[in-house]
Amino acid sequence: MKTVLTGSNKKRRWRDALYPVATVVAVVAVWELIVRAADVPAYLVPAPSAIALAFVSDFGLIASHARATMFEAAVGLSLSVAIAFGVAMLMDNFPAVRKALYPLLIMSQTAPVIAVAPILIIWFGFGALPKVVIVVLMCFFPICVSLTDGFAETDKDFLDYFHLIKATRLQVYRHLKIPHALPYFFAGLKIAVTYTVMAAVIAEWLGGNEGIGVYMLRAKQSFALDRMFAAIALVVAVSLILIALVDLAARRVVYWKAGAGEGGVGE
Amino acid sequence: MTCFDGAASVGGGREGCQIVPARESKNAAKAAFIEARSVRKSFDGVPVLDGVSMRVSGSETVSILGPSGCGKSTLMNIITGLIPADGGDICFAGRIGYMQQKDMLLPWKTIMANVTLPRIIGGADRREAEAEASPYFEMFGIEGYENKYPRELSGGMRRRASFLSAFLISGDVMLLDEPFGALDSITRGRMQRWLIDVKRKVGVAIMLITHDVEEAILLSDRVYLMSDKPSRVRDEIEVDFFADEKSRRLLSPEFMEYKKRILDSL
Ligand SMILES: Nc1ncnc2c1ncn2[C@@H]1O[C@H](COP(=O)(O)OP(=O)(O)O)[C@@H](O)[C@H]1O
Ligand SMILES: [Mg+2]
Repeated sequence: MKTVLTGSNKKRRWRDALYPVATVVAVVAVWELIVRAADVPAYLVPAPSAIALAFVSDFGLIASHARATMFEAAVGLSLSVAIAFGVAMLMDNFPAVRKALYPLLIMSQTAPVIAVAPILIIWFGFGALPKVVIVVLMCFFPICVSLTDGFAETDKDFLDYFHLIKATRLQVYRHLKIPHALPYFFAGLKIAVTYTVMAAVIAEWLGGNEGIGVYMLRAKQSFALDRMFAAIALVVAVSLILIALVDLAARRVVYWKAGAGEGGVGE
Repeated sequence: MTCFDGAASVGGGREGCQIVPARESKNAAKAAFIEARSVRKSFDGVPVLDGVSMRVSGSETVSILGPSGCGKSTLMNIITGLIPADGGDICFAGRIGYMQQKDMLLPWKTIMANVTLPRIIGGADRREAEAEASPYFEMFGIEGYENKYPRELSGGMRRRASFLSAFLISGDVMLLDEPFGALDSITRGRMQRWLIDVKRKVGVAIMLITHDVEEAILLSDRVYLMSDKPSRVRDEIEVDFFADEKSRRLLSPEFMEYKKRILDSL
């Protein structure tokens, strides 16, 4: 069974998407006009058309750097999800682990990752590993916390029911806790993917020889602001695509939550 | 202390209702019973059950009628083993199917997946469990809803599905905790007639918990009247008119007599 999106619902979502798109188009147009009219030099503020041109003419190089970044982001995000599931299940099963870890998890989030990154580079070198670690440090937390909350908020009556029908711990997870925690998981994942690519780029910035971050650093050093902006636009676009994918996956997987307001049938 | 009777409960204990193949348990129905003897229970020093005794067996319908908060659900939870009693005995033979006040239907599973869940948890093959459950969908008036999700069903239909789920756990003895309490009065009336009808088809013993005097008279062969907490059984009333045609009870003069007698006693 799939999500039932009624026609008007779908139309409304498209219409809602028009507002930010129109805003962006307007801002870009004004930007272009001002840069042209005032003759702003390209090493200060490049025109949107110049940025687009830079993106096209430098596409081969950008794409090869982007591949490295996407690799780090993908591995980092996958690891984040895996570790978050593991830690959340540990905390859910053992109250002592929960009490010990939960405050530490929150504390760890207040440590400035940017300051930690150079240390990681000292430890792990200039390859992909320190970047993956930084992505995990940033993305693991929202996923883990939302999963933990999802497990903890499982309905007590349902837990009693599962006890009554003699379900094993694993069965409780499989049939009750994990499905119940999925909407929470996707909410956390959505937050995580908004910083996944950014985290990888920042990590590359601090040391390395490939990736969008490295490309940006080099563009900056040669005052090629048009290429710099092209790289930023790419990071934003990829992040937005990731968010959209998570939304899509959430709607498919959490089909049973959709369609609020649909009345019952029969009786 | 707890006593068990008959092979059926061995291994099941009071940890909860035991899952057995529905076909087996339905044949063993007649020997099944539940008996509570002087069951006592306090919460935080406040006595709730103060020596409650009752029995249901064969294929009778017995109601436990009492005001809200008198400890009816607590008694249920003690019988199913969810919480321990402070004193007294629970004896039972056969498996107990238990239908809670609230629908225990997982929103992410279809009705078929929900009603077969106890069997699946017990290790049964999914296709076998579904084949077993299938014929009852028509008998219980929910055919066509097998592949729907709980949110697509009305309150009354969800109750039927919950009843089927409890029935598939055990066709011997069923505990129903205010099964229709959350429904509007029109649907409730319809569901009461439905229960009379289904009960006649499947011949299971039913222990029905309710705070509704008319529901108790309409559906029961016997009614236990509970006092306010700390509660005991204040009275036991045999309801023996139109025993084979309970749906005709509502409009008969005896109905009013029973109602008066119970209200006087409460
Ligand atoms: N787990 C519990 N802890 C403390 N008090 C409880 C608990 N369960 C029930 N009670 C109390 O016991 C009384 C009986 O509750 P319950 O059995 O749910 O009543 P009923 O089902 O008859 O409405 C109520 O006063 C309730 O507050
Ligand atoms: Mg109750």
